[in-house]
Amino acid sequence: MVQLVQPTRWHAGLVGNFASRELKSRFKGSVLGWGWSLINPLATLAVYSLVFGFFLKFPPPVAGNGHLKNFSIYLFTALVLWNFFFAVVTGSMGALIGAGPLLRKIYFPPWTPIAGSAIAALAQTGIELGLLIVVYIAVGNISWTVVFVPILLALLVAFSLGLGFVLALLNAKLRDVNYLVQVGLNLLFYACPIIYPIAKVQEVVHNHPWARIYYWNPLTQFIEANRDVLYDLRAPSLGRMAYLTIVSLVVLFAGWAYFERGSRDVSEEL
Amino acid sequence: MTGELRPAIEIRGVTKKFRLYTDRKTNLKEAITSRRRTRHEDFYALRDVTLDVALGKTFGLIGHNGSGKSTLLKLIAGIHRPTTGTVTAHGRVSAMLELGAGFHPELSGRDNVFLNGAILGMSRKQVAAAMDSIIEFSGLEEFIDTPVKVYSSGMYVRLGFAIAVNLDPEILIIDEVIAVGDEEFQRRCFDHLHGLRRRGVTIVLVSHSLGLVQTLCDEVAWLDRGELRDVGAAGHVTQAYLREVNEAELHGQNDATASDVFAESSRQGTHEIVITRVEFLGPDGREGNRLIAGENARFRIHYAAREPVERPVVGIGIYTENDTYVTGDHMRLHGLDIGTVTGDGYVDVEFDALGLNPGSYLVTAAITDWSLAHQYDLWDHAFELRVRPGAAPEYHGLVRLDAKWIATVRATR
Repeated sequence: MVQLVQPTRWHAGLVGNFASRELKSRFKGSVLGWGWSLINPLATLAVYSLVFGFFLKFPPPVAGNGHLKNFSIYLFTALVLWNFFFAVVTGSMGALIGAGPLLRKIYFPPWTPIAGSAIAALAQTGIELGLLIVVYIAVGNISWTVVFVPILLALLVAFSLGLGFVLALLNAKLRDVNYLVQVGLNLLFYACPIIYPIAKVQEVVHNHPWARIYYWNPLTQFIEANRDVLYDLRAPSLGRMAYLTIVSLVVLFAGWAYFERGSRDVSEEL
Repeated sequence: MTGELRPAIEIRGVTKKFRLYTDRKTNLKEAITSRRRTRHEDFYALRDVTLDVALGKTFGLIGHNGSGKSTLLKLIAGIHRPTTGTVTAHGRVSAMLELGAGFHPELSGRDNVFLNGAILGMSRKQVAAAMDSIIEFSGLEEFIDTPVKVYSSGMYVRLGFAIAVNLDPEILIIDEVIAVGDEEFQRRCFDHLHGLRRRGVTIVLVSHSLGLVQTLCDEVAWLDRGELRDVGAAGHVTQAYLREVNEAELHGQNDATASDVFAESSRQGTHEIVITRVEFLGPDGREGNRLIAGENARFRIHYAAREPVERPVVGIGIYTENDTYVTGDHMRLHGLDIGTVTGDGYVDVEFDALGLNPGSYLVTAAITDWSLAHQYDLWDHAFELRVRPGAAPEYHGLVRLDAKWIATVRATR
């Protein structure tokens, strides 16, 4: 049964410590330190912009302010969410395995390192989102719809964490899961309208029954919603928000319930 | 309800079953291809163990290797769950089971202290308050802000122990770890443990050193192949245990000698050449770990060299069960140089008249290089030696010195 945690100060302290442990160790020993947290995504952005925007000439739609038409910004609006999803899903698996030596030594709830790694990922995403919003302000494409961003992010946290719980536990039992997920994420990246506008897909497979799967993919919906509020400056449709809310909460609670049941003896598996 | 009456740890009918996979599948291919042939055997690490650890007492667990001592500690610490039965610990448990296993190599010692504190349920403020005493206790002032990956194993242990004992535990669990570290640090550990005892901290410890258990513990539980054999006053239970181990050896029921019981945990060295066995030969030249005070005795130290080793030095040390160092000796002191050795052989130490008085002793045996600086093999406090009374009527103290009494009586005329 779903057991709700009562987060105590103990849990909060643990999650905080795991998050800070991850953040502190991330760029230890590097000269640029936190600079890398921006250089990395910007480099990816530059490559995609060059290949898909410049060489392949994917046309970005006109933004909500009526004149902005920039592929890099259009791309980054989606990439920020993808990066977070990717970091939480892969980070969860790493966090549980990484906490193995500790879990064999002393008892603490095994979900805390996973939550800690999600918070560390959130810090990174906060920086990227902040940069993105600054850019939107600079180009004069901003509206009240920006208030949806934290809501979308919160829902994405729930969705990613729920999935992260399940995958972390599966991976503890069977180490293939990690590799399988890497492959899956690679495919998923291109199965979401990140580097190309969703309109391209609609042109090609408009009424194909399989296209439904594409549209109902929660990540597609997250990305479209984020583009709604930041690029197109309009509120996402009620149906889209309702769908995302339901899916995220179901995934979070299902993932949590599975993890709670399965993780009691996880110290013997690590 | 008074705090005095409630035990700190209640263990009720605890059984722990582990599945031993002949070849555990941790990858998908194996899981799919050999689904039907999942072989596992059930292994009972503990069977129906019930005992209470009284509040504020120091409690020892003894038994052979594989008797379930460490499993029981892990259950008390909450790391594993019992298969059936319940384990309840009333209070904050601080466990010291694996040395420094909880450290993140890239983080500094200080950050690791905070992480460990958070696991024990302490706030940042509480940890910060204990920080100075942790640093002082570990003796790592200069290194506390360097990543722990550069620490030596001794530094790991010291920091780990300093954290476990200084973060204000209510129940402290120690698994055979104090034996590590230098003499001076060990002494500080013991002093600190005594201090914690006085403050009413409940301590549960596993040790192969019966001397240590007898000195430190109020009560002792004896586990034998996962079952509780005996529990009670420390002296009583350790003696019963010793008696059985000695008897088992005399009757040859067990290929493990009494010596083996104490071994394993206290072994160190690089092992190019190893000590395979130590025999104590009595006046009749027969083996047995009982020698007779004042009569001929030999310690026979068997070695096996895995590769040619130049000029090894074999040495022994004799300790009382309370860890008083009685005496030590080695080949080089007597100018015995056996050159380069390969294969196996043995070295005898012969005493014409054994100067040890009757009692129980623990013998350390070691092989080092000629400089004594490099340890090939060390069995620390590993061999139990019993000395029985001989013909001489009376004994005082630990040793008998080879002395003559000469009286010069001046008579006045």
